[in-house]
Amino acid sequence: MSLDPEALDEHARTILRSRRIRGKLVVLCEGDRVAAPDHGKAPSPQTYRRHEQLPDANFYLSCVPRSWQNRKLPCFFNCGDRHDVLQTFARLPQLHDTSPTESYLDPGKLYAVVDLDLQPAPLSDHCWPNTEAVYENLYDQAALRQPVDERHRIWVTALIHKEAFFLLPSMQKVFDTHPNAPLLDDTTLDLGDLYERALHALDPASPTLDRDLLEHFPVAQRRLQHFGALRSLDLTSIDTLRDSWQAAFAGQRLADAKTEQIGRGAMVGDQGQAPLEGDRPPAGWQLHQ
Amino acid sequence: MQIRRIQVPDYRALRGIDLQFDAAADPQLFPIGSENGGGKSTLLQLVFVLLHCAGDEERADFIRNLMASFHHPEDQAEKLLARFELWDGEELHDIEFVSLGPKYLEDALGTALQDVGFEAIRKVKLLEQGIRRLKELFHLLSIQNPSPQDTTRVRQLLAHPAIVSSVSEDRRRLIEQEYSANRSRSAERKFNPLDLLEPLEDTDVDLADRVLHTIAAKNDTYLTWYPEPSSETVRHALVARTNGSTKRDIDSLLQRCRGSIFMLAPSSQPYLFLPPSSRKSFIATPPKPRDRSGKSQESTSVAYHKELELASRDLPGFFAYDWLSVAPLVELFRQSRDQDFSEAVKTGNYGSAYTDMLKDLNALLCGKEVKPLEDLSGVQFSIVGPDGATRALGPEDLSRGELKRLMVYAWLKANQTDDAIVLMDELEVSFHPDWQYGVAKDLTEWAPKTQFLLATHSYDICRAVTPAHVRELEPKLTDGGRGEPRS
Repeated sequence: MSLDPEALDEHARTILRSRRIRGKLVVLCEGDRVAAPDHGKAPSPQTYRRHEQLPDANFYLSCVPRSWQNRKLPCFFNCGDRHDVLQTFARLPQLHDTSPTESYLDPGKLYAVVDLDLQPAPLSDHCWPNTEAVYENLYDQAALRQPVDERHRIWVTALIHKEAFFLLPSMQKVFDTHPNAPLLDDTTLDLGDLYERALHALDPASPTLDRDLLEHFPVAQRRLQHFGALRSLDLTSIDTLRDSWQAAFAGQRLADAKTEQIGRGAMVGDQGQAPLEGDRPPAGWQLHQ
Repeated sequence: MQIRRIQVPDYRALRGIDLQFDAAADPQLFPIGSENGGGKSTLLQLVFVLLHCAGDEERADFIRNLMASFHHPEDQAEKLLARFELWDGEELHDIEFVSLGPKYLEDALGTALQDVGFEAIRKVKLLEQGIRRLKELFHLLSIQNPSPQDTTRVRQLLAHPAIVSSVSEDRRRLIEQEYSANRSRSAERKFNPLDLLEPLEDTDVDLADRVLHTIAAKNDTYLTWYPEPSSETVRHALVARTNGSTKRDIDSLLQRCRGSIFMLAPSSQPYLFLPPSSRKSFIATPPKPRDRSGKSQESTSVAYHKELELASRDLPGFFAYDWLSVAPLVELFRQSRDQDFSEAVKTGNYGSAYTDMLKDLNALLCGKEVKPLEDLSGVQFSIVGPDGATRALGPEDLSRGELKRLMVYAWLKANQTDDAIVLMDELEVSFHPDWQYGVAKDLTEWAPKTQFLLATHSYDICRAVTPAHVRELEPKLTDGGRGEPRS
């Protein structure tokens, strides 16, 4: 559930008054707010242990290059869902300006990162009108455009969710050699098999088809049109997409650079996500920190 | 080597501890949290002393000191001190450390021997230890120009329980007088070490044999006798027990454990492997300016730290990382030099171990560089200033955090701790929260096959791993103190 105005202000003030943000980049991200170290109880191993899963902020912190070790690390804050992140991003500078003496924030160092998702989220008072426009400006075929426009303070993921990066074809060799590979139906995750299942799930009549894809198919169409490797696809409908995908890429080897590009294409739409609801790694397994 | 499970039913603040460390967890780095007084440091010390000392007579003193805090009820023949599940890369081993009391001897050998059996073992083992210590003592006495450390060691040996119990007070005093008068070489000539020893009664030797035979017959491995603080005679012993293993198997396992377990911890805590009297001196009393002879006296805490330093010589797996000694770094340079030389002997070309290592070390320093002194007596640092000029720095010019990080790296590398178990207490001290997070990540990169158990209060260290990695010694009153890990 999204933050009400009172909860939003309380959450924003918690961030502003957090001493650890002084002089640092602050990055707002999606994830359970109670996972934030400044939320309520003093942070300790005990509070960390009580999290049900790896906090999203922690995931992003793990992605910070190790070469930054000797610099100040960015502070990541879980803010709730995507809407909460965007609301918090908008509210923080306002509260900071109202009472700058009660804030450790440097507004020039405030950023947010949210999942691309299929449904574009509107952005008020921002250089781009919505997350889809941010995506189109930031990325070309799911790869970062260079140079990056410095006005980007709200970033979206290059793929539909951050988790989708772990389903790219190039991950298979990691799974194959990792001692604790993720499991799907009690066997080591095989991405080829996963894509096959995803393809079968692309059926408007199927109850397993993501309703978001049905509702926002034009968004997926537009994204896929930009992929050179996907030109042969028929994007007229979900049915034609499935059939043309099957015809074009059946039996494609995962090691191919081209396949990687196809995989990226699959992950900007919602096609690769369907079978993953039941996919759970073994206890203690960590996504590539 | 990895620890898969630790169980401690009852030792000091530890009650019903049962911690598991998943084989599948990646990385094998487990923060262990508790409230203050929850027993984190005690747990690490218990694990370290048992696995680093058990089976080595020369380290049995450390186990005896540890056992001074163990309560074995009179009516129990045996009491479990700790149980471990250890993975040696091929097989999972269960090993228990069990205390035997007077009732054990009563049940096995009869009432008459219950209070004297372990005492007889003490006498025999002390005599054996006395012989070894005397040999060391006489070697030190023969040194013409002893270092301050040699002198301290001589005095320590003269007060060692094995020598105190085996050599009469008159003879010990004579040796000390000779040594103090700088006539040590004459002391060496005057005495044959073995002549100094007080002979044992045959009955003690026979009784000790019987008790040791009884223990072995039950497939247990004798480790050490240990005293109770309130008793003059020894009535307890500690044994190691595994299911279905021969003594040779247990000895082999303990030997591998001793070489595979390490502990890094701050010196600013009372260590259970030191004698109880030393632990009391840990709480500092201010030094008296001058005694009547005009000599200044050191504070008790200084004496404690000296004792800890001496103990660490016999505990090669122990390192106090707030000593901020550059010894690990010097050792690392020495090893890489030797490695390169060895390569040159074999192939005719010097290897690149030194240059590779220097590159790694400099990558750890924030814009500074390090190199060894030519005679390997120390290291020196340098930094390039804003004017482009290089300025020399001493180790003392580095921040404590920088130096500590560097020493932890050097210590791990110099001790070749890969595929080992490293216990670390309060790693976070001296580090900014960002660095606490970073150093925990560093450990898994510096020694990826090593298992790390970190006793900590730091949230930021935990953030380097998943919540499922974190173990907790839970408060006793809220959940019965079972300390079970979350599944």
